Amino acid sequence: MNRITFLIPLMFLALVLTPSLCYATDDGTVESLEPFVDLDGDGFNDNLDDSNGDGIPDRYSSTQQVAETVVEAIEDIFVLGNDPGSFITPEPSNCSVYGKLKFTVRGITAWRLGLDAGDSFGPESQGGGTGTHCVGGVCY
Amino acid sequence: MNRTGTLLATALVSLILGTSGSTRAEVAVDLGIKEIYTNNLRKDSSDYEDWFTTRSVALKVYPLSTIEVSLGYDDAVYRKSNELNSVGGQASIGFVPTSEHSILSVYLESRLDLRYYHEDSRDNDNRGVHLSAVADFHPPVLPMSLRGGVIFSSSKYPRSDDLDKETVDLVGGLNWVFLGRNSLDIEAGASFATATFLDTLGYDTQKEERVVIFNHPYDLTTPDQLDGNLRMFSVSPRYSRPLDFLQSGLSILYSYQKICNIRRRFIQRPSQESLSPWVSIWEGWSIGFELKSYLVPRMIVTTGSTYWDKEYYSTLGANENSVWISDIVRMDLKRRTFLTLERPVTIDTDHVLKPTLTVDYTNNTSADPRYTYTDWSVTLSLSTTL
Repeated sequence: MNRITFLIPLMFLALVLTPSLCYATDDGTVESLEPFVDLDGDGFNDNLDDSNGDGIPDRYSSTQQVAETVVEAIEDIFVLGNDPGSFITPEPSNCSVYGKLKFTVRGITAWRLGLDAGDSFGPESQGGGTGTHCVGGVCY
Repeated sequence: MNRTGTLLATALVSLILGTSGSTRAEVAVDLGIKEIYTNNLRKDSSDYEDWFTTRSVALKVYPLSTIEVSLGYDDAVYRKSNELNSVGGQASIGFVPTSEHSILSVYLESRLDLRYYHEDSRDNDNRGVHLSAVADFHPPVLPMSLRGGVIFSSSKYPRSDDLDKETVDLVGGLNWVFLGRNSLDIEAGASFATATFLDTLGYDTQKEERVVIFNHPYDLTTPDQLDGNLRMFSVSPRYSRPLDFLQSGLSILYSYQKICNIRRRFIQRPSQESLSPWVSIWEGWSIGFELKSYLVPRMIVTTGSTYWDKEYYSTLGANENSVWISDIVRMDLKRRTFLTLERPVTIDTDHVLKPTLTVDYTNNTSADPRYTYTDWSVTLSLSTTL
């Protein structure tokens, strides 16, 4: 028991001191231009980009084959070419702006203490969220 | 219950149809369904197994970029424990008055909710009001943020007003990033709940058990009932950091909560005990960890385990004729482990389907033999936002 009580703090200290003095990833790319912050407590930087909103940050999707969605795959068969200039970027919708605002308060919308906290445990207890995706005023 | 569910669903559909004609209708719909199996539904020594399904739909409207109005409906249907079937409705308004780049973030929310049970459990029908005002201050020059706020909740039971519960939670927290990507988050809170206490206890020689002393005959409205506040203090530090070599994130969480007026006891209805808002008031501590990983391609794998050491707040059971108390103080040692697999499926650029499988195991050892149990549960869920 004495050996265990001695080893646990030592292991924790080793974990804390494991090199992480910069935000560079193992492959040398910069993780994010935003500073590291973890308000939802999952161990990951909350500011990691997740462009498709599937909950898996882009840096963890880049090493995987980024498969086209079914719709995009079919469109690529029938569309001979897209003129980038033909796309008009829609104005930010209320929904998309609210999603970004809700991201700024992710650390205060879910509390783990209180009389009603009970035994909240597991993914549902982490709280937080990155908002929704909206296109042309319709939010999904 | 069926009529109420129909009314709520009709109102929701009407709102959807009413807003869908707008050329700039800013509407989102959250859908969710869960199928849950447990081999111990009541979390006690009865080992009563059951399957149940929960469904939820929420319509979210954004009249302004700072406001979200949400209307929701959910229901739960049990295969065997039909008396626990219920339907619920929620209406909420969330307001974020601060800008995206402000060093102060404020969130205000008000929520109303209703829940109606099967006719065999109508005593547990309830309605609630929840108000919260919280803020987060994050100065740009420091790797930390401070947060705090107040949360008020009121639950009313029209058919069982002795279950009514009002709570006020004062919460605060500090989040600090140090030595690169180590994160320390400390949260503390003080909670207050209105409750009815009984202070006088005696011994009934005929029944050979401890009972509350009443004036003859048994009278639940004696001066022995005292209105007061249940007070609890709690604190919870959490450490987290990424583990790049595993493409994972680790968090370690400790929590401690203490009830400040342990000597008094309060009334709780014994029937459908699991539905009472007073059934899970305890003091003690817990420690656990969670590991979230993106190591498996296109999946989110989360696992964790937590250990609790709890002493439940002593309660009284009451029926029409008497009040009784158990001589055994419920003290539990509980271990719980879970594994969740989530496989998000991108339908198109703006739609993501999220099927999730969760396996959960609990082992609880209690000084009260009725609550020594094990429990396996499996949950299959599907959610998306339209």
